[in-house]
Amino acid sequence: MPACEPSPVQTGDVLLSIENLHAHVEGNEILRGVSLRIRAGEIHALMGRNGSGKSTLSKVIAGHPAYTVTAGAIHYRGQDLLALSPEDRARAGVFLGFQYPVEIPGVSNLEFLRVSCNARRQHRGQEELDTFAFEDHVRDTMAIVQMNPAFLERSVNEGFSGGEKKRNEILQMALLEPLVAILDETDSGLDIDALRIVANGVKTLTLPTTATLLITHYQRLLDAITPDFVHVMAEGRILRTGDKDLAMALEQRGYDWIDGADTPQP
Amino acid sequence: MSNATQSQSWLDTLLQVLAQRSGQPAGQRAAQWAGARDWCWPTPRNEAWRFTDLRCLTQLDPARLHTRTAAPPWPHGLSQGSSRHVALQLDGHGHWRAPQGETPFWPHGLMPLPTEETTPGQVARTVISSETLPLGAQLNGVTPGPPLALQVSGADPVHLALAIQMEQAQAWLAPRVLLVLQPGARLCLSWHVAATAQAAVLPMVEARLGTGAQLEEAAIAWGCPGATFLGSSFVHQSPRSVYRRTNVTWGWGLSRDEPFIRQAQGQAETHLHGLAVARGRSLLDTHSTVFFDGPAGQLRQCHQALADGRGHSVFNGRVVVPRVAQQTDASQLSRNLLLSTRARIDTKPQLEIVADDVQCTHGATVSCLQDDELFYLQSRGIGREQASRLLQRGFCEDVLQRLPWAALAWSSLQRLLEIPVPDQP
Amino acid sequence: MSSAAAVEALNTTPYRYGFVTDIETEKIAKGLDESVVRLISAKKQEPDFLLQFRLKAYAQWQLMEEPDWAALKYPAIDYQDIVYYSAPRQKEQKASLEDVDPALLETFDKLGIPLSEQKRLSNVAVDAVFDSVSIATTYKQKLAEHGVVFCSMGEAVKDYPELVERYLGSVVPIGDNFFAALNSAVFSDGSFVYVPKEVQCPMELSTYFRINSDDAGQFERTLIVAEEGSSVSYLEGCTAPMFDTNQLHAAVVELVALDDASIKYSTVQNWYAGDENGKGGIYNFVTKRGLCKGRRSRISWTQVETGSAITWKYPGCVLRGQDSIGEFYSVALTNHYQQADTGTKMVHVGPGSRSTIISKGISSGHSVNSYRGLVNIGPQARGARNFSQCDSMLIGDQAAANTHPYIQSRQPEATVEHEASTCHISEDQLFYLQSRGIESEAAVSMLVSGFCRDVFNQLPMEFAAEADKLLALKLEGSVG
Repeated sequence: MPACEPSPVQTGDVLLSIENLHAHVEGNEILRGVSLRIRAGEIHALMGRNGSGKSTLSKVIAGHPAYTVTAGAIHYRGQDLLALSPEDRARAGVFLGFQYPVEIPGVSNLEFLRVSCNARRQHRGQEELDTFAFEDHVRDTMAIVQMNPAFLERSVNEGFSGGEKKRNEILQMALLEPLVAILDETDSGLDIDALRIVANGVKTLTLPTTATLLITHYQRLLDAITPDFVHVMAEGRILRTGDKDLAMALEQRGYDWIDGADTPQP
Repeated sequence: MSNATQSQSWLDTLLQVLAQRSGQPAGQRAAQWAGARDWCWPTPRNEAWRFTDLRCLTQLDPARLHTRTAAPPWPHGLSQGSSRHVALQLDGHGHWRAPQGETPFWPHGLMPLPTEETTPGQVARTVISSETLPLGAQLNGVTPGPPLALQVSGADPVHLALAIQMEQAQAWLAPRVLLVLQPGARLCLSWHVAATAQAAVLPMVEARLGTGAQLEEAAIAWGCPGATFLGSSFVHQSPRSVYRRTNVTWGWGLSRDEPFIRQAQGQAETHLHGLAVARGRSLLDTHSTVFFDGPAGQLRQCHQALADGRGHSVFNGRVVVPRVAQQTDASQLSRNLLLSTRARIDTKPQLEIVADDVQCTHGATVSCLQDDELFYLQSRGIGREQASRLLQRGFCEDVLQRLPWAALAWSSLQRLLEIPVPDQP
Repeated sequence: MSSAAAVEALNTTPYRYGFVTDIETEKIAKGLDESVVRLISAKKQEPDFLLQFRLKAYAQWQLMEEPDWAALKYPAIDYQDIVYYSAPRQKEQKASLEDVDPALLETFDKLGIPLSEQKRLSNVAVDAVFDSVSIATTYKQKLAEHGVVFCSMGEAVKDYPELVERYLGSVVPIGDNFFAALNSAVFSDGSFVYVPKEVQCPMELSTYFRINSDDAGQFERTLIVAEEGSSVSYLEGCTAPMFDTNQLHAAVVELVALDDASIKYSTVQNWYAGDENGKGGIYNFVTKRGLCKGRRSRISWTQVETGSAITWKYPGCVLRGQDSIGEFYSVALTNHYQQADTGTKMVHVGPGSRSTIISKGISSGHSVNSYRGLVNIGPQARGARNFSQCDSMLIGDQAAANTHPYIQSRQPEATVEHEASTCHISEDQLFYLQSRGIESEAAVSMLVSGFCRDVFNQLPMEFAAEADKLLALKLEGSVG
């Protein structure tokens, strides 16, 4: 893995390209031929029922060891992403905001954030930040998600409420400055205020040279962040792709009209 | 003469006396499965016997031992047999009889095993293959007498109530029970063992649980000063089997209870709940061992002990999780109430683990009654002494509420529960 | 990558302190009998009380049997195949550092413990012990200004015989156990600390033990006495060369805290642990005990145990003083074929005495890591309290973690609480860190040091970071 970035990204460049991806976990095939192309400057929303394979897709992109890819490919900026370790994917600029961030007792959040941020900076050929410089940096960044600096002193996610955990995820996104951010149900379990803060955070961090994939169940996140594309997943495939109106239609009519044979299509 | 030599000569006399009893030649039996040459009288130097003095047992006179029993005071309704229920009591010759003295009528799903199919220790050997048998089982093994060997089948639960009543001094009873539960079979077993005289009872239970079988065991064992209880049980569990054991012990001069459970291929459930109430000079000792020999086994264990007066409670809970036992989920708790300056608690929960993907926890607490609980009751107008009794009763109830009706019906238990609550000052 | 694979992928880095110093030593012949005990005493020109102490101990030792209750397996030790006295040859009286053999100074330089005036650690006074003989003690003068005595045991016997006679063996009696009896008979050197009344020792005191010889047993003796109202923090560090034979180390440490005194004793133990096949390494059979003699006295043990082939060690506190406090914070890490049977003994004698036990065991490779701890509440200890927490972390499915807490209470107005749990490095935790760009090895050691955080927080600041690094280093090469 070279320790520097390829040439800068232009709006419209293909960042992530997924072709006919098949993957299974513990012998069950979850992804059955997913294809998806994401360009710089785009916001994609991925919707679908529980168990349709949305979270699996996000974990496979991030490289979770429990999932085995049996066919297909993922290219990130032209490079074979599946050949990289999870940490190298993160360093290269692929970020996954977890649906259920784990608690890690004893490991200080501040130290974790610093090591992680420096790993990404080093990869981009930037100078690593020492403890003091980083602390200033992180405190500034925390303002984006209106997070109390007291959370820096605590162990990673330990005893955080659902909303605090999600803010911590967006904080990490802000520190790592990814090119592709996948946010897995970042909106679930948030109250209205927290949702607004998180949505604003995501909007602030989305640039013409980056792309975002929002995995969600609900319209309400998409009211705050307008997606360019909406994909509906079922049984391990993307069944339908449309624009923000598709999400609206789903909200009104449910998923049945997409995958159910008994209902006529609009 | 030193204690050790004294004990050794007591044991030699005992073995001679037992060898002369009718039944199979004891010498042969002993050699057969207890390993006569392995006899080693436990001393405090032996880790497993550090706190447990056997003097209460060796005060019996080997020359005067007998097997006489009394009629147990069966609770109303429990002694009657039915199509799903059988009640048995130990007679003066080591045979299990129905309360009216006749040969038992076996309900559907319960069948005596032919003698030729039962070898003493056949399950025990599969449960503790490499280790020497506990003292209680060894002494049981050299005492001649017929076993109660039953096969259990069918998904409808069968109820078996066993009672032993000892009222004459120098009684020496060593009942053996072998239970073979067919796959999916369900048995509710309740025990009532009582001693009101200087006597000894050494029950040994072996149970093999087939796939998906369920054994619910409830044991009440109470004695008096001078009486000794040396119990051992060996349970071999197949996958998806469930073993629940709830036992309540009090009053004995010496009680040593040693359950061994092996989840042969994991994937089974074991629930052990014990209550020991040591008052007077009672010494109550529980040494339990659970082996997991396969993945995804579960253990829930809670041992509660109360020590008052000069009472002494000993608990040693061993949980063994080898490499094959990934995904084991085991928890063990030892809760102790120490209520007097002359009472004693010795507890040692032990975990032995060689597997990385397991969830094992244990905990132990020793204290007297909590001040804030006492204060809460006092603030509601209850006197301190009375509040203390209420809390002690509550501590016992935690375990007692798990007992089935067949065990709760015994009046002896009511006596344990009637912790005298003095009038308020 | 799975956690097992991540751990497996780590490389074995060689033990950093494995070199041997080539130096002329004075050794006596192998073997032990009464004449050897007399010879050791004579070589050290000891007063008669000490010779009698040794002879009595030797007589007791001969009647004792090596303990076999610990979960340890090792070939029988041949006590006649050990050299009981070995010392680097140097001038009799070392008036200053200039008189110390440069090879020795260089050795300690290489170990990261510079002794010379220019390079020595600021705010840490060091007693450097080489093959059981103290070769230099820094900052003696500065300490003396505060009345604090910090010197080798040998010097203490000459300069403060009455203190030594009064306290030696007062906490760990001659016949306490097999190894303590052996140490009492043949102990070589060690450190002596005396803090007078109401003195707060102005700097960290530290003894650095270096084993160099491959056939000499190591038998140091450390004694720390804190007078009323005083306080001291002491740190012990240890390393040894790599030999493929085993060396016996049987030390005794005694601490005495009088009214309102406080002693904090920290150990970062990094003896050579043997190679990845379990060959070589130190057999560490150590008796450490503190006596909280006075009211409100406090003794705190903190240990980071990483490097013996065998560890047999139970630093404990006898809480005799009313309202005295005992603490034990331990991290024990075992890898490859290491075996550790370690824990503590908290003996509550005095009313109101309190103790806290936090033990973190990490087992990886084919190692066996056992916690063995005793909490004993005596009949007089009204209002005593103990809280224990023993957590084990297992890395890989070949390592063993055992927990054997012995809880004994004879006092109703006392409270004992014990908790133990087992955990492993979860795939999800590891993946979370990796997905933030942290490489797997770093992620594993981050998780392990997070697991140990409660204990590291107890180490003196100068050494906490060191312990963290040591742990990361030791984990490398652990087999998944």
